[in-house]
Order: sequence, then structure tokens, then C-alpha cells
Amino acid sequence: MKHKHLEKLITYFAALLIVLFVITPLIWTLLSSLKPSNEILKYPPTFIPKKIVFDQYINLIKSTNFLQYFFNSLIVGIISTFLTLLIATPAAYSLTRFNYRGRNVITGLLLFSYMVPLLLLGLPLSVIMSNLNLINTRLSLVLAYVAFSLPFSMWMLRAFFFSVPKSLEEAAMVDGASHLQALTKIILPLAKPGLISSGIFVFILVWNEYTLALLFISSESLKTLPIGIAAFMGMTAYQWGNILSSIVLMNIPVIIIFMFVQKALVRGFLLGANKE
Amino acid sequence: MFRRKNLSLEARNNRLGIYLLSPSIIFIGLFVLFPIAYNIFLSFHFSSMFNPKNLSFVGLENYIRVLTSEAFWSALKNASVYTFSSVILQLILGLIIALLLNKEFYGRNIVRGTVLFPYLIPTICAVFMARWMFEPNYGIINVFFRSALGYSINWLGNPHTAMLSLILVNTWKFFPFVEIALLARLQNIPSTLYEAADVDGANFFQKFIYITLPELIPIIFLTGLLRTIWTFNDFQLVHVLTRGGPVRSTETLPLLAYRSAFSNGNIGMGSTVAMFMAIFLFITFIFYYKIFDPLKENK
Repeated sequence: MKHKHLEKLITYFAALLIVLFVITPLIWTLLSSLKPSNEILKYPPTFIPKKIVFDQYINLIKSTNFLQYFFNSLIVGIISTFLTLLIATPAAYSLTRFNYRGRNVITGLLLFSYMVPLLLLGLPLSVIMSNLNLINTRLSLVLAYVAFSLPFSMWMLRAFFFSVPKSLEEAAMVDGASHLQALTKIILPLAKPGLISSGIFVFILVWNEYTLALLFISSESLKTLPIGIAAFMGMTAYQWGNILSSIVLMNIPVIIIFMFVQKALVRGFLLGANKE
Repeated sequence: MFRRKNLSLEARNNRLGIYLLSPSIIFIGLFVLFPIAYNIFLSFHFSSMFNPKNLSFVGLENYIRVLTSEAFWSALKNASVYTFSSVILQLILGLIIALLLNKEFYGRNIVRGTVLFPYLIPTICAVFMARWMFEPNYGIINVFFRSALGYSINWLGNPHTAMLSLILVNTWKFFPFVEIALLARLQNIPSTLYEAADVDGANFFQKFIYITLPELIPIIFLTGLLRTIWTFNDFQLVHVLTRGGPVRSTETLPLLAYRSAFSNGNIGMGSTVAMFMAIFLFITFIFYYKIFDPLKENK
């Protein structure tokens, strides 16, 4: 009897420790960001702000290009996601419902792309983009991101399409539907969670991406969030107020997406679309 | 050109399949495969940043220079320390937490969701939060050290603690990847196995070693392998946290490639370092493929 109580106690205590371990950096950053400038860099630090102010956020938006970075990341993210899904969906359909030489080889190669270091792509790509006069454009980023996201999107969508029974399309085709109609009217609605999961993964990948953006973009006005705010940590004094508030703001879309689509994410995760 | 009449229905269908696949293949070919091939090409040339169109063929000279440079071996060592320490920590932490979250307790679902946060957060945010907490003067971690030990630690300014910081941040950020995979597997272990063991009088440790662990070994291996590859290739986390410093003590291979290409201006060298990374990657891929044969569904 006592054993059970002790076990429960340890379980709850451990759970608490884990939550603290995960949450503390976030909460501490949030709290720090809500302090006025003179209180942030105080020693000993105050844990709860004496007064909650949004000074840092206002300052961030007014005196830095944060909104521009946010906008760039958003545009590049949305376009890349859209294009990727547009190209990957028929490709995944092809890989699951048709049979032709080389199909297995191609599917195997898709996995290879999981492990390609971005830098291995990034260095030559930056030279290529430079030769194409596309360097320092958002288009270069979109092209690279789509190409990079296609393999795992195809892999994920393929797994989701497999879960749709072939008999449904066959029934539709008996009734006279073409392949394309079978795809759009039957498979896609049923594989919607798969499309959403893949789309989210692509968007999050682009939202977080740093290496290629660093290599391609040099103009301040075209920078995406990761490289834009990385510059807040310059050689001289760090602008902590800006850094803290930008962290919080950059986390918000991700947290929102996560809260709404928890189930789809976990399912997609386990089907294998993780990159980092 | 085939005449329509001569193709069977299946062959015609399969042609459609190929058409549907081609945009993606073209895209991937242009922007993934071709750059890799171009990288191989670049590694045999000398190219200066300041005059990139001027390539001069140098054969194996880049490779020899890389293999004989201290920077390369140092970077390889740093990459290995960083990778293996982080991965082992992540595996252990992920395993412990997965085991815990497999038990029943109130609020379990909330904890399961919360535990994923580090993985979802943009890496740069995680790094900045780490910088804020590790800051020598204002960082909260040093506040505790100062009150306990009397002095604060310059986490990122000291070569040893810098590497430790890297490992800690990587572990914090990526342990959920291991945890969620292990938890999923744990939940699929039939409870009848444990019940049978209880009947035979097994205690906790025996149940763990003889039932749980064997079921988990494949997943532990898989996630460990993937994390190893991704950590070895990681550029963002290291670059933003330490830039490879202090004095190159945390410079990993990706950072060396970047520095060779952009700071030293020698793109050819950068590509060569990247080639060595690719070799490691290739070996790992063969390893992975042999063990897992991921095309089971096609057969």
C-alpha cells in the first residue's frame, strides 16, 4: 500500500520537474520581456516584474525591422508551403497508385534527403543562385525551400495516401471518374489531415530556417526572422530588450499552430517528417 | 512516339503516373541533386569569393590541404564530442521521460503536450533564451551560481563550458523527438506481457530489462541514428550560440565549411569540407538502409 503512494508521489514530482525543465526558459523570457528597460538588467533580478509594460515590444516594432522580417518570413513560408503541396500531392499520388520502373528507387532516394546537411546544399546553391542573378531575393529562398521540402512532403503524403483504401477510387472510376477526379474528389478530402500536417511541417521548417537564409540574403529589407533577429546579438552590447521580445513574438505562431492541430502533428510526426 | 492504340491501359496509366511525378523530380533534380554534384565539382577547384566566376582546377589539392589542416581535425573532434554527448543525453532523457509519461496520472495529457515545446520552438529562439539564461552578469543561472558558489561562470566565454552549453541546449531542444517516438512505442507494448511477468513474480527492474528494453531497442537505435546525423550536420544552433568560439573551440565541421568559404573566401575549400560531411552522411545512410529497409510497404 505504502509502495503505491510513494510511487505516485515520485511520479507527480518527476512530472513537475519535467514541466519546469521545459517551461522555465519560456516563462522567464516572457517575464523578462515585460519589464521596463532599466529593470531587465538588474542584479539581483526580479522574478516577477514590478509593473508589466510592453516597452520592449513597442521599441522592437518601432526601432527595428522586426515587422519587415516577420512579413518576409510569412510570405516566403506561405508561398513555399503552397508550392510544395501543389507539387508533392500529384507526386505522392503517383507513387502510391501507379506502377512504373524506378518507382521504388525514387521512393528510397526520398529518404536520403532527410539527412542532407543544409550546408552541403547551401554552399553550391549560393554560387548557383549568384550565377543566376537570383542571389539576395526571396525567390531564391522559395525555390530552395520547396526543393528541400518536397522529399519529406512526398514521403508523408505517400503514407497518408496509402491509408486511403484503393477500392474507393476504383469504385469511382467504375462510375466514370478519371484519375484526376479520383484524386481531387476522393483521396484529397480523406487525406486532409495529411495535407494539413505536411503543410504545417513545411511552414515550420521555413519559419525556422536559418542557414540558407544566411547564405542567400544580405539586404536588410529582405531578411527573414531567424537571420534578422540574429543580428540583434551584435558584436557590441546586446539589445536584450529587442532580443527578448522578438523571441516571444516569434514563438507565438508556432504555439498557436501547435495548440490547434496537436493530433495531426503527432500523427504526421510519427509518419516521419522531421527535419532538424 | 507511341501510337495510343499500341499501349495497354496499364502502360497508359503508368505514363500518367510518370507525368504526375515529374514536376517534383525536376525540382529536386535542379535544386538538390545538381547542387550536390556542383559541390563535388567545386571541391576540385580553387575559387575566390571576390572573383567567383574564375575557377581554376586544382585536382586533389583542396582535399590534401583539408586533411593536413589542424582546423579540420579539430572541427571533426568538436563535431564528434558535440554529437555523441548530445545524442546520448537526449536518448537517456527521452527514455526516462517517455517511461514516466507512460504511467497513469492526472494531467498526463497536458504534460505530454507541454514536453513537446522545446522541439517546436524555432531553434534561434531556444538559443537566444539560452544566451539570456547563461549571461555572465544577468543570466538567471549565474544568479544561482553566485549565491551558491560566490562567482559566476562565463558559459560561452570559456572553451569547456561553451561546449557544455552547446550540448545542453541541443539536448533541451531535441529530447522531445526521442521522447515522443519512444512513448508511441511504449504504448503499443501489450500489457499482457507485463501481467504475465507479474504472475511470474518479476520486479520492476526485471520487467524493464526483459520486456520494455527489447521492445524499445529498435526505436532507440533509429532515433539515435537520426539525431546523430542531424546534430553532426547542424549549423544553426552552433553558429548562433557560439559562432564556433571561443577561439574555434566549438567549431564543428559545418562551421568550418562556412568559415572556409566566406571568411577565408575560398569556396573550393568550403565545398571540400562539405564533401567530408557528405561522406559521413553517405556511410550513415547505407547503414540505416541496410538495417531498416524502409520500402517494406511497397512489397
